[in-house]
Amino acid sequence: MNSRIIYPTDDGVAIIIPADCGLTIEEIAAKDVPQGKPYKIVDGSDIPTDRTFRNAWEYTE
Amino acid sequence: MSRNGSGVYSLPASNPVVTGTTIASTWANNTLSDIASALTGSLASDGQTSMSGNLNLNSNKIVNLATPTLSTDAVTKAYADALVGGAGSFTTLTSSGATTFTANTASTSTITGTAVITGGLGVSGRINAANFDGIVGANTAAAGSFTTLSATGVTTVQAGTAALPAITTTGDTNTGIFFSAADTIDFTEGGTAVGQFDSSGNFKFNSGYGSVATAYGCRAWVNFNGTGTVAIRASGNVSSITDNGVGNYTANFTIAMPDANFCAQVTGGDSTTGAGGQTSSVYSEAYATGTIRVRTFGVASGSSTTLSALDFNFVNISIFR
Repeated sequence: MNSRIIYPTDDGVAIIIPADCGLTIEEIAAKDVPQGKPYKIVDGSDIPTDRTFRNAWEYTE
Repeated sequence: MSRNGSGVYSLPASNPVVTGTTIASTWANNTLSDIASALTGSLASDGQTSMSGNLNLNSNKIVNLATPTLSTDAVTKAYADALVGGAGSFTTLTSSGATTFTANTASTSTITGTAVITGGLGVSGRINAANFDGIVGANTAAAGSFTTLSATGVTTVQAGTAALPAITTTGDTNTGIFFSAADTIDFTEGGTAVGQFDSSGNFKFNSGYGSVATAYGCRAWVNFNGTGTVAIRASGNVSSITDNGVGNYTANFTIAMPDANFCAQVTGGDSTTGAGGQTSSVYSEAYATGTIRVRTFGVASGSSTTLSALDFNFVNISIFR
């Protein structure tokens, strides 16, 4: 499962990395994204691999 | 012979003689010869003659028969009743040799009531029984063995003991499963109890403990790379991890813990930066039934000795409860 779930936080953006647990990406999003938070499902390749400025990343609609 | 085929005898020609007629020797000889021939062909009551054809009783009985003694003798009703017990039933059926009962293959032969077989019953086909009471086989393993036992309902066995478990195997009867108490499943090896699911669902076993004791399993675990493309290497009961920022991750449990008082073991390091091999720190926080957050700190390569949030390429979380 190479998808990722992203949602905004007070400090920037959180990225959920799904495990191979038998749940679909939608089920994981429903369970692991904090209630009320907007989220998007993106491909893992859309997440930058250079984490030098990880804490400065922002969530955009 | 002058019988007409239906048994009626008629005198030969020239009979009857007209009154006043002189009887010649020819008439007398012919008539008496015909009568003698008819008598010879009739059945003598003293048994001198035997039947030369079928005996047609025309729905009449043969009465006052003697008890048969030879295999070719006719039998009386009393004699037959003694063998089969009366009208279609019998109280005792004894066979002195091999007996074969051949049922009508086009229909089902049924025994109603209870039939008790005191000896062995050899069945080459299938026993189709709605209910089966008693012991399968005899009391010896060889005679009582079978290759397949298929039950569509509940199969009940005795409780057994550690020395003689209820479910065991041929030749090793002190190893198997027994039931030491209500709602309890026990395992035994060589006559010694080695494991148990107790009535509270706890799993106990003796794996070098010295006795059977409760084993507390790892309820969730994950090994992930927190650098570059953050990725889970392997996990159990973890639905995902959340990358909250540098050195800041949350493990999300697939099945939540019963409370937040679990024990979290967190280790980590980074072989590329040296963190973990040098000064580093990991700690856990924000315990919740469904999640736990971990932080990783280290001294980045080329920096001072001050610890700061740092991604580790190996982060391991184990949850015990």
